Amino acid sequence: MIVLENVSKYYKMGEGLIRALDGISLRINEGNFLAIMGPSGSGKSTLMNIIGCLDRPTSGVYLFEGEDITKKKERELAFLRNKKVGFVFQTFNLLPRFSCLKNVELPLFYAGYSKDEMRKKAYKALEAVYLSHRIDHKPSELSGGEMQRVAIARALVNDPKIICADEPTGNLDTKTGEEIMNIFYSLNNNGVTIILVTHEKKLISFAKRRIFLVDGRIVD
Amino acid sequence: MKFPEYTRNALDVISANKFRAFLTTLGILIGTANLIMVVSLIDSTEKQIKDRFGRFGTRLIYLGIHKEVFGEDELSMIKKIEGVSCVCPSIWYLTIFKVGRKDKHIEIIGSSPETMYVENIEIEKGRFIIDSDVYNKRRVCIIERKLANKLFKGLSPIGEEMKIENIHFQIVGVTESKGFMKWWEDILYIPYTTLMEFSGQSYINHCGILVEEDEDLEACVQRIKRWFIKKYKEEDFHIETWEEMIREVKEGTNIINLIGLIISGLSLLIGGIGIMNVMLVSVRERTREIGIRKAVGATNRDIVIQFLIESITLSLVGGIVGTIIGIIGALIFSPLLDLPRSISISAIFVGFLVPSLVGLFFGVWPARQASRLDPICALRYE
Ligand SMILES: Nc1ncnc2c1ncn2[C@@H]1O[C@H](COP(=O)(O)OP(=O)(O)O)[C@@H](O)[C@H]1O
Ligand SMILES: [Mg+2]
Repeated sequence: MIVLENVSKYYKMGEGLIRALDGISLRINEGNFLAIMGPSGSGKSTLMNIIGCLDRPTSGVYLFEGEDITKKKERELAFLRNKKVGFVFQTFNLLPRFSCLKNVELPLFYAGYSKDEMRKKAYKALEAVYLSHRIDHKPSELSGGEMQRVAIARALVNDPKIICADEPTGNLDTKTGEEIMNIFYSLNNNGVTIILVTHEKKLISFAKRRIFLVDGRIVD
Repeated sequence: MKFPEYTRNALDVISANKFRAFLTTLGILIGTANLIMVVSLIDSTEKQIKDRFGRFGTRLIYLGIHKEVFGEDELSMIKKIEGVSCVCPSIWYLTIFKVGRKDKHIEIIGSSPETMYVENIEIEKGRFIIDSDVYNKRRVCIIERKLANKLFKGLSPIGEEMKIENIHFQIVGVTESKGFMKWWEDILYIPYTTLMEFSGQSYINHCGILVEEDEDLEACVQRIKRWFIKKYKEEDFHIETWEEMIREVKEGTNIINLIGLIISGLSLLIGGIGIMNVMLVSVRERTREIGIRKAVGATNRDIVIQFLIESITLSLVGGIVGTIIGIIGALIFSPLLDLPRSISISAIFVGFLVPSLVGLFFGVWPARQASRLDPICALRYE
């Protein structure tokens, strides 16, 4: 489903060049659970953002379901993010003014669903993360674990092919983190491809496959 | 449709920061209020011109004669010119009249029966001057409602007498007050023949000429001019058509309108810059929100529309309050300027359209800034 060939991402910093990714080649099959590991600054987030069509590589080829992402327009990337990808971030990234329900409805809004459909689907997604009793709460009224569950509900509400999670447990205690990992695990059992960035060794037992990054390269 | 949601969202954002919104839209508010007043003033002026000239408006020619050479004989000669339907002399005579102990200026207009149509006078009670009044030089008068109320305190003035320069006039009719201009406030109509006898004036200095319905106005004006040129010198008379009169009346209010428009324009400009500034701040404050929206599938266009609707809504909030204030202002000021109260649909239309355009114009740049944010940088933004 996902093919990266010799993908690099460089950032100019004054005179120098930061090689955030340096010639990554990778294949991810549908239904996989991939853990991306590595030290801080090794390029994990950068790689995940490229896989999630949030960013473009500087060079190399990236095929998403056989289509070349590097040639796509901004609109088309937005469409892919909306329909095929769900993101979960370390810092939750919920809209503070919106209720949980409206936060989860957001991808459906951009997909052009009607109000009723949005409500129905968002409610179902919140039910799937055991938060149907919290729909009218604002994120600030929730615990960290609950906020991350809302974010997961938002990521899966549009029935994506893959979910990209960037250190989703980084701001949570161990027990809550395990709860979140269990949700990913059961999503993966239902056929969703999961890409998980983490540096917590304990969590990778969930993963079917793992890669290590160091300085923008895959080692091992 | 996404628009209702964007608008609701925009109102949420605005009400979350009410004081800032208030300060931002103050310029728009003042500008719109001002604009509504100017538009209403223009409307009132136009309405008044229509009232004034009535249904004969376009067929009316006004004649002024500056020399004491124009009398009854000349009148009947003009009546014979081709295309002239009726000629209506009027003689203006300013005199002093006692109301209680106070002396008041009063304009006596020596009129003919046709004056009623030419000046678009409406009779409220009684009658206007009739042919036999003119023929017999009767001492009858028609007064305006304002003056009637002042003098008779609500009692019917018909049949009562008024003493002007020691001559008794019988009141036979009451007209609606037109208040066309301030100095027209107290007007008394009497037969022009009576006035000529009473004042000793043997000449006529104003004349309304009504052109026949299927006649070419310009051609008729030329014929009248030729007749005068043959008889008098160029500077002794002066002919004006309805259109020229309207132009003059409008010119009178043009300066007020121009000043009003300049104030409006400046306020709206300042208001627009304020909106742009606040929207730029808002984009910065909500960088993360923009990143989140892009991550879940918002296109650049979605972001542009969201922020444009926000700036338009912000501007419209000021615009709507300004429209209300402008309407109230126009209702208060029109009578002070002796204009009829007139709030037109066009004023309200302007009150919505102009602030929307200001919001749109000054929102474009911030909205583009928002849409161009790189989603990854936006998500990292603290
Ligand atoms: N927008 C950027 N501009 C400059 N350098 C960046 C930018 N984004 C990431 N980097 C650099 O790229 C490298 C990889 O970053 P990242 O993918 O965030 O690492 P990780 O997620 O593994 O901690 C780091 O050295 C980081 O400083
Ligand atoms: Mg990272």
